[in-house]
Amino acid sequence: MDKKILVSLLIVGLVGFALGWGTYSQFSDTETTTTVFTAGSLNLKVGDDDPVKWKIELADLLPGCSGSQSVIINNTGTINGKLSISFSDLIDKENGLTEPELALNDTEPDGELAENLYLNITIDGTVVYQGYASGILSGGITNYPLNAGVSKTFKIEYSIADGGNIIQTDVVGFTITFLLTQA
Amino acid sequence: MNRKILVGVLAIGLVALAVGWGTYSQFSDTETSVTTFSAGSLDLTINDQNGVPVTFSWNNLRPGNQPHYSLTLKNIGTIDGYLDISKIVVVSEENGLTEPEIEAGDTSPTEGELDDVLGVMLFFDKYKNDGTPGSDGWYSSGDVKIFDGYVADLPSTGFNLNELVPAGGGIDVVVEIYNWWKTPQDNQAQTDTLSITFTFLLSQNP
Repeated sequence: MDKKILVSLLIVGLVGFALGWGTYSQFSDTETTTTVFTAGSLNLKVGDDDPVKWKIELADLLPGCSGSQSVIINNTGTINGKLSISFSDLIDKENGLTEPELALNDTEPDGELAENLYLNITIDGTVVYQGYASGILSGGITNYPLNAGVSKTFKIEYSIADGGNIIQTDVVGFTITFLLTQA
Repeated sequence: MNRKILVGVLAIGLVALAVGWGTYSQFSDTETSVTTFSAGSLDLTINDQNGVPVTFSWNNLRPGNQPHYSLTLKNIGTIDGYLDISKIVVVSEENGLTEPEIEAGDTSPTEGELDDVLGVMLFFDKYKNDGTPGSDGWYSSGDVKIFDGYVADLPSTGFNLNELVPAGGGIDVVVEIYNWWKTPQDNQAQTDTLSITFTFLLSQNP
């Protein structure tokens, strides 16, 4: 067989192959599977504000006074949570010395109100801190269950039994941090 | 013997053969062959569903969850097939921004982040935990891993697996294990919705 015939046969073969390729359709079948995930939510609300702006300011406290402030703590998410409450940034300021304070030899740079302000802090009746404001940093609560959609009342009761003039004009402040984590 | 006689004998022989041919009836038998073609079939089912998408859903997903699903892929046809994942579609939606999402730095109002925090491992479940052949829904030694990473990194073109699934009920089990471990972006994924669709293709050739 000469070379020309060989080449012709090769071309015929290739064309045949190409035709076969183009028209040949193989069996196949497809099936699908879909998975849908919806993430839950964990959202803590203290009072009506989200994020929290709850602020208590008590002015003109005097010996013998008492009172309380409360706020609703709400897990508005869809996942059960556990609540931690902690205290920080205690301020115990003298805020200037008045004449009656001076008369009691109040010369310390810090105030005396914290040592005389008695606090009973609870959430739904469970004690978070009980004692004088000066020891508030040791207070707190962890792993308090707060399920999805549940509200609890956080309450601060305060009283000043005594202290006298030495607490005049003093200022006490602290920050309360509420942290909700998934149960 | 001379040549004429030889020719004469040959002529007689030929005549005899011709006579014999005409009168002689030989044994015979006929059989027919009919060729019938029936096309084979290649038919894939997932969890015994045929032509119906298999769906799973999980609500209230949170960090620490580990949803896992087993897909039993069966070739109920008459031809051996080769299995691939030919397409993957991931749809990630924000589903509204909550305060914890915003606080965590989520600024995209439409694009969800669940696909960035949710890991997925895909594998052929060929062995059980005790080393015996079979599927148990969990990854164990001998299982063949297809993918292990975040959902966001799944390739849209799928995976060329060329996994042989024999005709007549050949079975392969593919398991999807999802993992939400803790990441710093977890809160961004709150309330997000994520849908993942795998298309399995069974074809005649590898």
